[in-house]
Amino acid sequence: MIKLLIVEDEFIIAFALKVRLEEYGFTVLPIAATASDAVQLAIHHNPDIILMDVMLKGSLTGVDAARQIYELKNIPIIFLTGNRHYIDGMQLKELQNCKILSKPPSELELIDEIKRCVEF
Amino acid sequence: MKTPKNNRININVESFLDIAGVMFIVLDKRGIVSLVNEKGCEILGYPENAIIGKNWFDTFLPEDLRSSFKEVYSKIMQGKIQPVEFYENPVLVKGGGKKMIHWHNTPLWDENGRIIGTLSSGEDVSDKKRLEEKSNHLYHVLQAIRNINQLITREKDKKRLIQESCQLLTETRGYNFAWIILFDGKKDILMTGHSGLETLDPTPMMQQKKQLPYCVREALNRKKVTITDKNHKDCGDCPLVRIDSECRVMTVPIEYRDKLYGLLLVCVPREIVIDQDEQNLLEELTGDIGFALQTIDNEASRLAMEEKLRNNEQFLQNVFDAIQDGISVLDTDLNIVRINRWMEKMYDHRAPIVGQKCYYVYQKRTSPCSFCPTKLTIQTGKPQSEIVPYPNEVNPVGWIDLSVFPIMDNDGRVVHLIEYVKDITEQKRAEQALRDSELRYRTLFDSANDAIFLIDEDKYVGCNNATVHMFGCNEKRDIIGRSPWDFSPAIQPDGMDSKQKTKKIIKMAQVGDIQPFYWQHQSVNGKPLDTQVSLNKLTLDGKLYLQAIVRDITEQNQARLALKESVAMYRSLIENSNDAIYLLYNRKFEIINQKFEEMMGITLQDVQQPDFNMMTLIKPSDRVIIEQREQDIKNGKSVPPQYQFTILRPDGRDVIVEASVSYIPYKDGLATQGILRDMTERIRTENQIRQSLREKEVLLQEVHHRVKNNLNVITSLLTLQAMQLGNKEQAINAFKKTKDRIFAMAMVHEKLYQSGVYTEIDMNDYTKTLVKNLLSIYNPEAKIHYSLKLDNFNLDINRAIPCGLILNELITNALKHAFYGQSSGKLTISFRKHGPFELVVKDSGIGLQTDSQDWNADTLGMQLINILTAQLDGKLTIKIKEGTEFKIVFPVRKNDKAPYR
Repeated sequence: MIKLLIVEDEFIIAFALKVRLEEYGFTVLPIAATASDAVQLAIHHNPDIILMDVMLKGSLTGVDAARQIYELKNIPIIFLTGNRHYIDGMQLKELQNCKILSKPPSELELIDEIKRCVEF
Repeated sequence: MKTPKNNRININVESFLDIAGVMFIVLDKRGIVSLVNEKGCEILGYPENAIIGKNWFDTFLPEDLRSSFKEVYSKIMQGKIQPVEFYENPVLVKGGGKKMIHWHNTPLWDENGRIIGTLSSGEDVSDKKRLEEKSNHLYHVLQAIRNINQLITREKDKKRLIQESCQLLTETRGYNFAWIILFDGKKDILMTGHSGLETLDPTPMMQQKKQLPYCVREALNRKKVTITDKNHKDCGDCPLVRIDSECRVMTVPIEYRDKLYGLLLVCVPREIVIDQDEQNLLEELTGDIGFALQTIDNEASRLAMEEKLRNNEQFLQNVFDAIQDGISVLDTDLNIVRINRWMEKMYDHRAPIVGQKCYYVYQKRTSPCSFCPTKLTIQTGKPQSEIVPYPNEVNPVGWIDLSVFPIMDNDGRVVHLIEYVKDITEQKRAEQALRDSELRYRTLFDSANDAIFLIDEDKYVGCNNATVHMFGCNEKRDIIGRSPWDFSPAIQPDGMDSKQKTKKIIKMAQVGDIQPFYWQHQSVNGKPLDTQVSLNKLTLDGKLYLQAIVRDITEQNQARLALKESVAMYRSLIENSNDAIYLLYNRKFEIINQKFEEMMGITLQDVQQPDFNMMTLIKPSDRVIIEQREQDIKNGKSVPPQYQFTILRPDGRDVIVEASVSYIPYKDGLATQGILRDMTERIRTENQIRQSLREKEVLLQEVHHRVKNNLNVITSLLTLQAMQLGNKEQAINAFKKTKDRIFAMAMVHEKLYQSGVYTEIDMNDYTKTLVKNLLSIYNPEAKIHYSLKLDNFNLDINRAIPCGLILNELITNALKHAFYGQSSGKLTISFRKHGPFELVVKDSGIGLQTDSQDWNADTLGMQLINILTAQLDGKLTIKIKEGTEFKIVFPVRKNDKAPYR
């Protein structure tokens, strides 16, 4: 069972995503709405993959959270963002084990990407 | 005659002594006269008794001989020496005169043979002596005359002649002193010569006294030999008398052929008798000197005449050569016999000229010219003149004026001819130039734009075309004969009468120069003409006129007026400009406008203080901008015409200005003319706009983000809703709920843009609107009463939407399910802020039915409430008592979510 951590401050979106992914058989950890929650949950539950919103509640972004997580664990992260410009080239180079998908992603695209990341 | 005692001589001897032809005198041992015969008394001039008993030496010897004779006599008496037998000496005679006596002496002895005295016989030899001396003197005079005659034959200089003559007259001891005075025709002293008496030169004394000596005057008056004795009363302080008191002067005129040349004056020794022979000799001598002087004069005259002739010849030659025209002298065969320098130079390429035919030399012809005026003069004997082209008549390069004058002999025949040649090429050219100049002047006069007219007294006597045009006349005769005031208004702008003022100006111009002046003329149709008049004096054919040059400056005046107005306008523009304007030269402000003073907070007086430093006007941090520009300009670099800097006003306020500058030549360098625009407000506004734009951009991003986010939320809601669909009714119900939820979200945005703030919404207003909307849908009959308890506060959109969705879920569910089976009920909605926010929805319904499908915790509605409460960091409590109360408390955020970038 693949364990998923969803980091999203818009709870309805997170909830809907969680419901759908659970239907696909993923184990979805409690939703993190802030960067610090994301780091804490990632350390604590050691998810197989993280679906990370970029703009989060609070002062830190999803990129900040990813950078902190990478310092501790090599967990693949799929950034879900409404605007790809929120992540610049430098950040992508720094965050090697990550992917970017536009929000909302198609279910098939998201599932394929999750599986590809996890298998890799 | 008495016989001394004890004398052996008897009476016969005495008689003999008295009849003797010589004088006898006996002296005793003491020199006392003891005997004297009659001849002795005669010679001495005294009677016997006046002689006997007297000391011979003291009484009858000249003083200068007394002591020596006494000493010798004493020695003889003492027997120390033998008596001198013969000797001569002078004796004093009655009347002060002297006589030379030749003595024969014999001693007298007593019985003892002792000398007791002397007996002397004396012969008067005075006349004999004088004759001898005279003879000797004349000999010397003759010798001098002979020497002078020799001198005369060789000496050609007057001064030396008279000087050496004087020397010869004295050196031969003939005369003590000789003086020759020569006079000019006015009897003024011409020159003098003198000799003798050592340093004596009477000339200075004579010049000092401005009077000739007496002897000279006498000789001049008498015109013959004059002898002047020392005793003459007019000799006075004559230096001759002072030096030689014994001298006598003989003055002889120096004459030749009745012409008096001067006088010879000689001092004759006292012992010399001046007789006629000597006078004759001197007259002969002065005659010779006169002849010599005349000979010298004649020679000098001849030499002077010869010199004069030479000078005249040279002078005439010089005149001849100095004449800057050509002169040729021809003979009657047209041979050139003489030419002057001008002709020599002109025709030196044909040299030698003299001796050749004139037509060959001057015209390069072999025969005389057809127009030859010389031939005509030969024929007529009258002067002729002709203008002759040269070098030939065909291609003349110049012209000469050839005048021919005849030279005739005593019989009136033409023997020579003078050809006078004057090159008049320049004159001809000047005449042509004058004609051209007159033509040009006439053309200029008539084509000049300025009116030019000639005034005689106060009438126009001439004018050009421009005058006719300016005065609006048809032709010049409309003007000629009229006066300046006829073309002027009666009164000039300065209030003066035109006629009187005209007369006054003309009078002034006639006696002196006057500066150009303004005059208002008037055309014949009454049009006023502003003119500038220059008046000059002009003399034509000896008559004085005034020439007036009149320029119509009406348009110029109008232009000047317009310029003045324009300047005033620009001045006004500058002064009223909203920009500061200045002219800066050498870091000193030459001109500033009022706005400059206002902008800088200083005055013109301040900036023109000698110690004023313009850099004090500039904020210290910006001074480098100005300094860098100055440095760049100095180094020849281009600088942008516009730049910005900040002014520091005296009151400490900063003014940001934009300077637009240009550099113009001014005085000896470049001045900066600049315009300063106060940019403070504009920059502040720009900053505000920039800030606003940035905010708008952020807001727009936010809107896009929110729209997309909302669409994601809606998508998610639809996803969740879809998962619960079972049948048609559920589907319809699901769509209604979804619609309500989307409405709740949409209303947040509606309130958002209605508020104008775009980031926050008034939750009081929002809640009221949402409640009314839901009541209108689910409580159309108004069976359910509601009350609102709403505080006034705003919430940002991130919390307003969850709150709106929560209110939507709670109110919808209450209206749909709480009052099930009841005809009425009460719904209370409160949204307060007491520290944390408190949102309460309480109904008076049947209470929460746990088995109710809608209120199952697993229902989507409840899930949403829980999710959204969590999103708000809130806490949900449900109280079921006399209905159901949902209370959500969520905190006030200090650090809300950062805006999206």
